[in-house]
Amino acid sequence: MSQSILPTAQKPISNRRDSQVMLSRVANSLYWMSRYIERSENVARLLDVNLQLMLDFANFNDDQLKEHWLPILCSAGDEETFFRLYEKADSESVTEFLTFHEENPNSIISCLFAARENARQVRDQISLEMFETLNECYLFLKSKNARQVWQSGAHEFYEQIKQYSHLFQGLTGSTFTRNEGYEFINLGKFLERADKTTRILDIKYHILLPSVADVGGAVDAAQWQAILRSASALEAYRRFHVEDIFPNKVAEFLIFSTTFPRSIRACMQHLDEDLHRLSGKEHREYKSPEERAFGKLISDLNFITIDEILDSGLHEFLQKIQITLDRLDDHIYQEYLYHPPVDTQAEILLHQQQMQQQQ
Amino acid sequence: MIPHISHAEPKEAEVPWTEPLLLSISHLTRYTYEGAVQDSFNEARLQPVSDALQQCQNFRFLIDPASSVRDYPDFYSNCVHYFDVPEPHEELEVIAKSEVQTLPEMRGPVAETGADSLKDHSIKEQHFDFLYASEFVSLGADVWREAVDALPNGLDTVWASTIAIGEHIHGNYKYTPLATNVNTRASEVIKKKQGVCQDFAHLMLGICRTHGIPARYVSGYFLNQHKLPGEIEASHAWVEVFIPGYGWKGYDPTHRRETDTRYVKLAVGRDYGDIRPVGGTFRGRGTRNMVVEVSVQRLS
Repeated sequence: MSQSILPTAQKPISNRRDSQVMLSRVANSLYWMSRYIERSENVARLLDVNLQLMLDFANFNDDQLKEHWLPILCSAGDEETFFRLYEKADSESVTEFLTFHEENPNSIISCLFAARENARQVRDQISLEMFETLNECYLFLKSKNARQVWQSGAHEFYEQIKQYSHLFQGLTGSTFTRNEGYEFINLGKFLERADKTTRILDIKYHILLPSVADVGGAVDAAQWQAILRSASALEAYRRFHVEDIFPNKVAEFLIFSTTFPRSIRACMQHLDEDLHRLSGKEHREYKSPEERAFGKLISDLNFITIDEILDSGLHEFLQKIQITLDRLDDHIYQEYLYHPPVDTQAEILLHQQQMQQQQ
Repeated sequence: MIPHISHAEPKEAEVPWTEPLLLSISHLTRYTYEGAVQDSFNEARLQPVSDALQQCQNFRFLIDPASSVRDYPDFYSNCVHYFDVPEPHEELEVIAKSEVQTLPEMRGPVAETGADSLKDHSIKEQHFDFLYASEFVSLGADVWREAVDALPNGLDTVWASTIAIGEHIHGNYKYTPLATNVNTRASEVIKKKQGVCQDFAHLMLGICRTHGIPARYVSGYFLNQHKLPGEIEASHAWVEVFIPGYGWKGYDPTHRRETDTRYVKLAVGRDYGDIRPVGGTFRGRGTRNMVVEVSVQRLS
């Protein structure tokens, strides 16, 4: 009489940092805390640069102003909310909307409040320094002082916001324990950064479709330079391309650079590493359709050239990246952050296995 | 005469088979649950016995989701396979496959032991469990009345009485699938006058015990060579009575015959409740569906 039994399922080989269990709720808060801070920094930079750019175009009429600011609104996807609240899109209304308006979920103030709220929910998981930075930022934004600083010189205000973000991200690197939570913080940061870089680059597609006379002219150069500065990429770009600022070179740099930490490709490589650490899969192995689409996009970036992208449409290409990142975000949510509601009834109820009648 | 309804309805009174058979048996049980369930702890009594009448030559026990299995003998020395599935699962499949060589009765003709021998106290003590009421077999007035009707002239020899009881059940009860369910008790069967093998076995246990004959429930399979098309096969049940000076002897009231080489025994107990083929508990919303597929094939 012999008896054989199916082998028990093999334990997956894991390359995680440790196997400590983390609550989905905690992962969710860390992820969004990180995303919101990165988002606020990008909005601050974008507004700062564009306000400065306006100094060069002081004689813009209303239509031209609208033409300048609308794409910035569009890039954040908030134009609908905006026109519900404001009549015309000029420097003041757009910056006000993107900075202080609490009804705009993507305004700097909304983002940082949300970041601080997320941090508060996982206060026990992050360092004192991290929380205090966010809290200080929160108190600053709530105070009257914030508006005063902004009104007396928007540049100083945005500088302050960027510094909170830099300080927070630096403190995360130097005080946060390297456990799974760190991966979630990184996922949030790099996903947001990659997305924002695509949007900053896409603004050029919206506005900076110049009239024929302007192509290659001073206006064009100033605007492409503004794009680089919006991504903190001007100095890094200059190291590669000492001469003029050419549109295709700027796009190439912001998409393909492997060394510049805000390029789309660099961000995606970071995302890739963190995703693999979380899923425990081998390098270049992807476990869901969303991850595979993401992996495919990374491979595409290794082979496609900027000329091909410009030929087939920069906007379409950037949109494709945004969609892939959006789906990846969905996947991260479903896989790690979402905990389906527990049916306590089903958890508790004890049943007898149904019996078979002998006939 | 009762109309023939299903396979279990016997043909003419048969001569017991004495030809040794090699039988291949497969018994699948599949539970589909309402959503995911967890913490499932189960016992199965699906391994054929090896004794003087049958040799289990090969036995494979498969669980899906994969789970480790351990086995131990229960109070009546049946082999029990225990397994648990703690993680959430929506389906549980239990497959038992075996090859069994059945052997003819070698003890010779059944001893003609008189019923008086059952009054021996040592026999009563030894077979206490099989002489009194159990979960499915009550020994109330209804069973007693049925017992009197079954043997109007009182007890003869133990074996002759057993056969008479079996004939009584077979003659007065109708084989009707779905008229009863797995929880039907012997007293309900008396009311309904119909049932399936499980019910007939329970009723026969009640009548035998009322007359002081130690009787136990047997779960198993039998080679059914007169299958109707589309007929569902399930596991079978019959009884064994204790004949002093001879031992336990099987009788199948559903087919009005003593058990022979077509029968394969899995386990014995006081009634179905002791030896359900698969039983256990789990946490979850409940069971949506249960599928049981049994096949018994003759290899040689």
